[in-house]
Amino acid sequence: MRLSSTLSRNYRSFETIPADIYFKILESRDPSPYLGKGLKAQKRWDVIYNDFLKFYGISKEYRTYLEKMRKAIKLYDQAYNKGQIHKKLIADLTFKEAQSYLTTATREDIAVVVASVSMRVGFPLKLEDITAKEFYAYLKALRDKDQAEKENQAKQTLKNGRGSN
Amino acid sequence: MAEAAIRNDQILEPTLFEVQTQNALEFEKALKGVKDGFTSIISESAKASQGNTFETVEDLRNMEQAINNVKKSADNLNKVRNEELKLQERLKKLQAGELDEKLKLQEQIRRETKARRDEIKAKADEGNAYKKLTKEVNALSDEYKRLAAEQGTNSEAAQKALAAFTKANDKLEEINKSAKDGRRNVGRYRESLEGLSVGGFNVAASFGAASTAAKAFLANPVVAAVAAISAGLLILGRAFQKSETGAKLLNKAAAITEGLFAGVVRIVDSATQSLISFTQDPVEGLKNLAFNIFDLLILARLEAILNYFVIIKDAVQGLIEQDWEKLGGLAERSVNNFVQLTTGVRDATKAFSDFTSEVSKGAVEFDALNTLTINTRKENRLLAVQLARTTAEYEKLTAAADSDGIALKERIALTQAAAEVQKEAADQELQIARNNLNLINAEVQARRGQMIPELLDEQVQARVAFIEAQKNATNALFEIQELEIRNRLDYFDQTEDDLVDFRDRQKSINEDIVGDETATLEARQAAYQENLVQGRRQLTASVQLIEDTANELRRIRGQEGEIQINFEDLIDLDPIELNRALDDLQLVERQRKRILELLKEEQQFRRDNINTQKELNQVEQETKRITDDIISQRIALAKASFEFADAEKIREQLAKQRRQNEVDALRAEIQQFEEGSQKRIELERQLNDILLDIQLEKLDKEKEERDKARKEEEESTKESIAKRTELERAAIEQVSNLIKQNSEERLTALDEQINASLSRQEQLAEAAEQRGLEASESLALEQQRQRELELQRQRQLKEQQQFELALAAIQTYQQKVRSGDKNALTSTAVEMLALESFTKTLVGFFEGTEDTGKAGVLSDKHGKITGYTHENERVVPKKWNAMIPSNMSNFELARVAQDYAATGGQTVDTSEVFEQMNMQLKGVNDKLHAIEYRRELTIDDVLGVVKESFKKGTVTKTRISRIPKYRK
Repeated sequence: MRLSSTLSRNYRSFETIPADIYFKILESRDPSPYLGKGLKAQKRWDVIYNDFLKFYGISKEYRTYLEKMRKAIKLYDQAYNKGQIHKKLIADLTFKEAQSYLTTATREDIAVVVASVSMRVGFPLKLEDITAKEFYAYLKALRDKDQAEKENQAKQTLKNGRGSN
Repeated sequence: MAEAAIRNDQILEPTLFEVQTQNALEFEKALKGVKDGFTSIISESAKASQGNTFETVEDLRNMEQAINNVKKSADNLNKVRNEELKLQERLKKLQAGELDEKLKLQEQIRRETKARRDEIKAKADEGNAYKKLTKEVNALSDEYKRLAAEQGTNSEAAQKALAAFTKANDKLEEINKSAKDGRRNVGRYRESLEGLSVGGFNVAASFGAASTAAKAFLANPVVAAVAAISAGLLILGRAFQKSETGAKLLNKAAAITEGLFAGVVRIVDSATQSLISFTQDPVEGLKNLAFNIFDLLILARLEAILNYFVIIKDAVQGLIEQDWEKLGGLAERSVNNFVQLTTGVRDATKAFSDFTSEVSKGAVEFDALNTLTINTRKENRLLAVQLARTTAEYEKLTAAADSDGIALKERIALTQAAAEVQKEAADQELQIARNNLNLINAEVQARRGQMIPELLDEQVQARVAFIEAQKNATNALFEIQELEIRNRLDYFDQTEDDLVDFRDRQKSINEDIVGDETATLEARQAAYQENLVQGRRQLTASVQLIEDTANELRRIRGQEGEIQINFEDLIDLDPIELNRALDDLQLVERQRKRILELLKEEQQFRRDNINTQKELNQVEQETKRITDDIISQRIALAKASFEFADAEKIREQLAKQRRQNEVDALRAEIQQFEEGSQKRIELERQLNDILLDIQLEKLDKEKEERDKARKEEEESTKESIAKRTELERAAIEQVSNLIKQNSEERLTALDEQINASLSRQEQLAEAAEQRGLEASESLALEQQRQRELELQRQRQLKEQQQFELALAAIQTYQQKVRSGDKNALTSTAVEMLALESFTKTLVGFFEGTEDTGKAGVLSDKHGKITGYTHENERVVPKKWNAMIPSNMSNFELARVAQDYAATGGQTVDTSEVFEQMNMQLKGVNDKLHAIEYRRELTIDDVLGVVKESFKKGTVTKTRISRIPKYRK
């Protein structure tokens, strides 16, 4: 039996919401079909998303996007409010550059990620059968492992470099 | 004819540019305000974004909000900037081009003035009988000339044309003659009126009271005619005063002349205003003109004016001819004309005869008028009270209808009640206006024959009020109708919304069931059927609602007949036909849109149904496939457990079976679609992919097995070679050690014996010195023994060298076998011979020396390096070497030399020595071949060591070594 149908009354937290429902909401940006109506649904979604942010954090690309946008906003402020109008062009360019970091995950993208994670963990993952937190736990474990490997590799390269010198 | 020029201020607003400039400046100020607003948004957004940590939803939302605000503000600021630029450009143009615009406007005014003059002139010409007559005379003249030329001057047609021309020409000449004096006064009508005072009425003064616009209008031909009349009146006045009858009649007429001129001036004034407004706004001008010429009496007056031409002409003619009788008749005609001019009544006699009776009837009529006035005012007061109440009621009802807290039906009832009240109020208002009009009409009727401008104005105002009231009443009716339509449409919307909501709910429930994979297939199919029925029911209800509403609207609008919507027919129509069909239905826009929506929804609904049906079919197939899969898995498991197959084999078998099930299911599904259809092609492609995968997997597996077998074989061969090599190496090493050890031991023993012999020789030498011959023989014997020992030692050394050579040959052979040389034995033999030859040729490299010293480097007499030797060796030159037998070794040579030195030139037979050496070598070789080894390797993983056991016969040697690290 699918998780999404058995727990339909319990989509209230990041730990219990089925991964497929989570991604559907994320994709449509509309929690109302699953979490109630209007403001209530939005509040519930906020709780879930806050849990997600605490658990996994925002992606590197999205963070870059936000940082660049912050920079662009500052430049606009300087251009329009501090009399440095020449910075408007730089602000425009920074704004466009920031936009290039913003990618919206489609259903296909999510499917690719799920397939990739399944392949790496060694068994098939079905979004209907696991919770969002479970899915991100796998993803986080893989991410940490990759990070550690990268660091080791970097250390090794450094070591080799010193040895050859 | 003088004509007032149009002034700038009549067309161009003097402050036109100022206003525009002011507006532009205000707009600029407003833009600055907008700009400040956007920049402050950017500033706030920048502040908000700087401290954001992106850790919570709130943070992200605030940041996104800031980004959106800044983006919009930046875009809007760009727009503001563009607007500013445009505005500055506009201001520049306004300031720089004001003068130019003024000049252009002046030119325009000039052109318009000219156009107006031309137009007025053309209109005047059109209605001018004199001009017509002139044209007619010219035409008749041309006609006569044409006929005379074609048929001759005496022809009947030419004569008739001549008669007609003569008659018309005479008439024209008569007019020209009679109007000779009058023309002199044209353009000077004002002056002509100066002296005219008829019955105390100053004509010129009445013109003087006219407005500026009226004065301008005096330039037109009609007014010119009035001027001519005035001139005629002057003449007539003088003429009338010459006779008593004329003076009397003139005095009578003069009593009403004042009213005449006042009325004429007022009409002229209004008409002039209308004409002026006509040039500015044709529609408004036309309305005003129509309004001002409501009094048809003016036509009669104009006719009277025209008659004056004739009278004037006759009067002038009579004066010239001093025909007083004619002038007397003219006076009577003139009076009649005055009467017509003032009252519009043609028959002066009737007018005068009726005047007395009219005056006598006046008192009675005034009484009736008074009564009517009282009654009308009374009725109007009552109506006004009712109207006030009705209006209050209307306000109350509309306020209640506008309230948000009431149901649609209640609102409909309230608005309908309000509409009825409004209609009632409009009727009351109309009644009041009608009463007022009747009253004023009655008053005018009572004062007929009297030109009272105020009364006429009141009549006009009452008529306008009545028309206004009629309009209001019509509007009220229209509003009621509109309200009813709107209510009906609101009801339509609400019902339609309910229907759509109901349908959506039902559809959502059914779709949930259809899409619920946990439900049984039967339940899902039942839900699908239910969905179909509900969809059909909702569609029918919606269409029926549209049809009912449309017919209801037709009834409200008073249209006959009913429409019928055949929805099924509409679905199949192409867009053009559909539009035409909908046009024929005469639906309101909202219903037309709804019909189009329904058509679209129905098409979507049908498509969805097809997809759902397909999905359910797929589910059915999938269910079947899963069932088959489970059965096959069970069979495979049973079979596997029966055959004691391993888990891997079971998994492979299950995967294979699953693939086969997929293939079967796909094949079954393909059969459901038409050949060549998109879906079938797609499914066939999927099937081909799976089959291809199966084939590839099979090939991969076969290849893997082959590779594995080959690798195992290679490993086995390599291991076998390694083992053999190791054995050989160990054997050789052991033999070598053994032989070396034996040889060393033997050499040591020999050395000891030689040393002992030498020691004994020394003792014997001492004894010989002391004891003589006996001791000398013993010494000789001892020396002989020492030589024998030396010989044995050399033999042993030779044996060792040969053994080493043999060992080198074996190792070379082994190396060659290991490297895969097929002719290992032959090539080893060749190399050994070459080595031996090389050893032998070494001595031929130089001329020879008794002692090579310690340099090691040999050189000839030319200083050229010829070879290398160990320290203190001997090199024999070629010519001396030739003396040495070729089969004699250096050792033998040395022995010979030693023997020679010891024996004083006696030779020694060395053949025995060689024989012994050969025998020893043979023994070694035999031993070598006789050795049999058995080697065993045991790996102890616990201790991490390798035990290597060698067995030779009953002797076993064990070697223990650590396992190399890489093996762990």
